[in-house]
Amino acid sequence: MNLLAAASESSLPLWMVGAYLVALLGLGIFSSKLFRGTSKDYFVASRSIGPFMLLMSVFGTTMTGFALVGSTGKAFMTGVATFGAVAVWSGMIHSSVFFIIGTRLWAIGKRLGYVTQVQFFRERFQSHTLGTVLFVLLVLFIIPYLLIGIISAGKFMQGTAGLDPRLTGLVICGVVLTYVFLGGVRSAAWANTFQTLVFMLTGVVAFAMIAKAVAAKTDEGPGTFLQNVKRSTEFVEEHKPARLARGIHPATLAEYQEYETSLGKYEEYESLKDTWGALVQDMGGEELAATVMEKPEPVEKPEFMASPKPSMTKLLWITYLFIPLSIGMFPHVFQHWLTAKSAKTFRLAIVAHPICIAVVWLPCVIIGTWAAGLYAAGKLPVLGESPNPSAVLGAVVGELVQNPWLTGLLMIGVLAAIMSSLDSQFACLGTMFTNDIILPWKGKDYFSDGEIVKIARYFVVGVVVVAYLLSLALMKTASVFNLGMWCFSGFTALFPIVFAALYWKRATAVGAYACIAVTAVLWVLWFHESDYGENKDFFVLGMLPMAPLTIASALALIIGSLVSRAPEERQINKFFPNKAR
Amino acid sequence: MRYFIVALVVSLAWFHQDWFIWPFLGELYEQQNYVPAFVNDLSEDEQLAYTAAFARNREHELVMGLPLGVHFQMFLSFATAAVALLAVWKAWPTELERWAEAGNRGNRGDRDRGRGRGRGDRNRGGRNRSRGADDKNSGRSTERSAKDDSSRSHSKEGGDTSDRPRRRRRRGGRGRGGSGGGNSQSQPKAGE
Repeated sequence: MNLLAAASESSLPLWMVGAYLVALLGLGIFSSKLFRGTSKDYFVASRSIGPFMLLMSVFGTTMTGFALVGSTGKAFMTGVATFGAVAVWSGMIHSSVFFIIGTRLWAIGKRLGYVTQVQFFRERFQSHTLGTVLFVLLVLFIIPYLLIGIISAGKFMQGTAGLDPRLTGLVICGVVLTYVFLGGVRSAAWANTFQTLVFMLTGVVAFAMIAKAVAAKTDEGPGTFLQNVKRSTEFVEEHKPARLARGIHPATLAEYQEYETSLGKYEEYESLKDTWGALVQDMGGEELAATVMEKPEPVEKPEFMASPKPSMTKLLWITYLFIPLSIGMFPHVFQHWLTAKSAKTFRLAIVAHPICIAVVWLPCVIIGTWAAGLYAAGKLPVLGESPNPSAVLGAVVGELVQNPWLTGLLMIGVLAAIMSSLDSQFACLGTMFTNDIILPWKGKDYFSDGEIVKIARYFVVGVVVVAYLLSLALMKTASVFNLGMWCFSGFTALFPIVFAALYWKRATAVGAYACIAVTAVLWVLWFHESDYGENKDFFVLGMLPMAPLTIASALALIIGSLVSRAPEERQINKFFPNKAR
Repeated sequence: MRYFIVALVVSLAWFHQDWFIWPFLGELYEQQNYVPAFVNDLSEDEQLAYTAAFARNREHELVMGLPLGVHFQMFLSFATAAVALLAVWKAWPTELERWAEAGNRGNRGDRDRGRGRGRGDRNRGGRNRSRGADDKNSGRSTERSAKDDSSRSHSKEGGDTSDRPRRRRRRGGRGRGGSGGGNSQSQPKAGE
């Protein structure tokens, strides 16, 4: 699908994307001028990031391309339930995690000088090896997540503008590498702020324009903004009402009851037809048979209709809360937390995060729902017989709006959402390799501060190059997306470790190892059972796999900690504010 | 207050399971004593129509172009923000911030490489760190202001005082101060 051709013959969208990338690069280079030249500034921006930038950088980091493209596609398949299941749960859980985990980690990081999670876990659990194991796991989980970003951007630009995905990957990796190389996390925070504002704006503008375009397809035509929204949703109510409720929509239920009634009449006709046939044979003719019973009127067999199901079961709805728990173990989010100027810096992020999520997700979910109605009414033929959910947003913009400005804005918004996560991930991996492998190996005294910054920069370059090359190799492999989504589950399953490390003095390294072991075993097992992620509807006991995975890993942590020797209090008191001296 | 905040958060999570709310609302209105008084003045058919209207699962009903279920979830998003505001206002862990700012110099050395020194000094990384007894000779420039800290001063990063005034450091320590992050101090550029 070539949106550019569908929208117009203009190359305006590409120019807009180019201008955006130039602006981003310029901002990144400008922010690198603020770089103070020290490793602390490179890794955690000298802990000088203020509230607004912390909110924007953390929010932008957590919102990937899924927030725009994926949410629309999910709503196309599931309806408005997507908003409550993903966005509202994320708002609640993320704010809680920032408050409970983020502030505490910030305090410990500030007091004890950590710049990575592994440093904290090594000392909290008094185990260098545990830190190394966690390092390996975190890197393994984050790489597919990172690859999804590069590959998604490439595929998106290929679908919208016909660009070679390798070129897109090269350009976005190059832009991100430039400013992260120069300014580290500080540049990433500045860029994230810009990108977050861009993709928030994209969602709102796209919503208004698409509402008008969808309303134009209705009998009443377009009107004011509210009228457009009303008419568009009523169109869905007419053609695909199931998408407007989490449970079973009454219209769907009524349709099924009508089907059951028709089916009953047909079955009655079938039995009467047999009886009639036998009677005609016995009586020697229809006329005589008609004196005994009335000839049954033919009834057409109704087209099969499956019994209606809710778009999301109650248990599934509840288990969606496990998805946002993953933020507690994201190394790149952890690094952003450490950049906060003070604990008070978290306040704006804690309060505004749920609203920011709603602002981004609600328009995209509603657009996806409208698209479902349009598709059911045959007004989105470009999606074909088996629609690809990821193509829904592009199809709506290309087929309905056909405005090169909106096409360009959408392309920018999607790239902004993707790149706002990429830069943090690149910076974080460079930080981790430097601080968790090289410095412990050689000893911190071995390198000067300037040399450490150089090492980090080399690692950032290395990570970007390896990621780009991997994306070339896996560009045509759909399974990387499946793996990426499963890696999310891995982060969630490790969440009990960070929670216990911060709030449970009894948590031990043995418990952490048990948690990791259970996570690894069950993850591999269920990933295999889901056909390596191919089966998108793979559930365990009716729940998302990450729910039982996290519960099992938490239990393993608890049991493992209780059966092992308690840690020395004086060793761990320094991690607990009311006991540290 | 913190327990109250926790209770609010749990309540929000509970209300998020709105699949029980809609039929419950319908059941409420089915019962006569929940019907407003004026309904009793209606005809029997009108009364039945009135109660039947509220007996339905209203999750799907459109209000201003969006299903009522979506409005409810949006309300929960803003309610979450309101509870978060209450939490940061009334249940903020100020002791955490004081603890962080205090900086336990007695237990940990400086993690920050800080000052462009390549030579080994007491600034050991890792686990076997020398005590900070002469941390002020480590090249740090920062001492905490008295209002922030009752313990010994400088931050482990040597830069955590980015938002507080610095005392002038007596020269004579090793190297220059200004590990990364000190706002008021010029920093040696990396690689110089």
